[in-house]
Amino acid sequence: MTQGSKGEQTDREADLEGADASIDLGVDPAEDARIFAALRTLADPREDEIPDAALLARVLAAANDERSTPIAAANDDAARPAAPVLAISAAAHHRAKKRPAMRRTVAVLFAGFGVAATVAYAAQRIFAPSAPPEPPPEPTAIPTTVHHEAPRPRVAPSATATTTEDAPPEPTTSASAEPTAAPSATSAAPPPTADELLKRAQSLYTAGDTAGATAAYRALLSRYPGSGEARAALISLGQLALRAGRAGEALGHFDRYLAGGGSAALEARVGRIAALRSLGRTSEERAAIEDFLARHGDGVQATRLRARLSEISGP
Amino acid sequence: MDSEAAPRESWSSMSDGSGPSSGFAYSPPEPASSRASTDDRARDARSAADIARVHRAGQGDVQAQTWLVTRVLPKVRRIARTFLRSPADADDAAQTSLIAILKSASTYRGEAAIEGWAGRIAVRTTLRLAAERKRERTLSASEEAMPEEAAPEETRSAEALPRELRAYLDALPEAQRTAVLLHHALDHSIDEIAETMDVSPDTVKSRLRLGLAALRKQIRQDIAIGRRRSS
Repeated sequence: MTQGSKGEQTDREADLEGADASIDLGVDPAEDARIFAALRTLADPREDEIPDAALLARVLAAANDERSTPIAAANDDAARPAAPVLAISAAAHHRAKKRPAMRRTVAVLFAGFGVAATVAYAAQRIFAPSAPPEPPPEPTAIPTTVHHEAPRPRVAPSATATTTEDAPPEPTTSASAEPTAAPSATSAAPPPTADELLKRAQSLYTAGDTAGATAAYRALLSRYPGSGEARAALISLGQLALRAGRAGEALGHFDRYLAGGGSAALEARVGRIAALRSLGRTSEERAAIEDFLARHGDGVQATRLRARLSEISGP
Repeated sequence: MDSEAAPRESWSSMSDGSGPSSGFAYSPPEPASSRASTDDRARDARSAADIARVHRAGQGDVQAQTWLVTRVLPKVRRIARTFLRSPADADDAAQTSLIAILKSASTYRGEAAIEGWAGRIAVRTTLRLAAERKRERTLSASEEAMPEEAAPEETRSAEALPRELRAYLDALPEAQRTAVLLHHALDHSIDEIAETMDVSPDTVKSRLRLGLAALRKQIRQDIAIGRRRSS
């Protein structure tokens, strides 16, 4: 809070003391009518919200995706329905095909950033001279089924979130590839450290087990929320959510990372822009691109983002 | 605006205008008694068909899911918008609520109107999500001084209010705010709020009374301050 606003606050408190004494607390029908009228406007549609049809498509995609996930959790991509049988979904799919090359490029960049960020961080952890081990805050071990838990997104997969839909899955190994770091913790084993959890998540990610990787990243985030590994996990979680079409959730992860700052802010900003684009929140996307260009105007993404900016700022 | 035209239409009234199927629902003009039994039978038949359809939605029938989501979507969105300031959060809440409704569809018993049943799920889901968002914002703010999520310009239809209504609502205790919003913004009955909040109807009435009094007090304080400063 600024000095000015603190000053205003103090003024207001002083005013309140004076005002309290003279306030009549009886009911004024006209005033109540104004309050009720204002209350009723709260539920009115808003400009920036997604259209009903898009929401319907998202919900159906998510509901049917979740339904199939427990059956074939290891084969996440295969379990996802190809396309809902709805006209709206078809329309959304058609929109998704409009700029496949650009989308694919952006998606590949995100995937690259994800691996780069996590690998760089892991390397830093490995080669750092005095990397203190994270104190395990909880005595319980990670459940052995952690990678089978269906991702429980606050925002479900979006049929219209297509930025990365056309992208080839970054880990091109078969989805049925055996996870290289299958959890084998028993109740007697010590809880995994943040570093171990990060490596496990990376292994699952590179093995193509996106659901398992998501679960491991989330476990890392919940067990060691203040650790550097958890901050790196926010970027990966955001990219995983983006790839799965859960743009709203992705946006939350990127925002949370940016709120804390960090060396992967560029990746977070690029991810945030893609998430906003997927959500159709164009005015916020425009502002995010402008912010990105102001900070990283000479980056490799700048040219493409400038093109996008002129596209959405057009007449 | 329909809310102005029919300000107290019950929240559980049928969106297709077919009439109520629960005790607190909005009632259209009563039909002649001779037609009542025919209407009752028709409603029963429709309800049975609707219950079966809801169950099919719960079992994964995409057509039934589409029908159910389309039917309850306006109600769910109103609830989400009312409790969440940010459009993105409201979208998330609506989406999560609709998924929760589909998950619960196979347990629908037909004891309340579909909208009423779905609305209760949506309210609980939305309140939970709103609490999560509040915690997250608190966490973010403690990590780094960060301005609250940019909120869109809210419609200030009540130009007479000195500040945006949400600013006043935010200052209320959560229980009072929830009761005020459910009753005055979403037209829930006292009994329904009592059931949703798991308290007695008298408690709901008390929260409404206190909540409104607190709103009035804040507004009058602002007006008084404005007068003092301008004089």
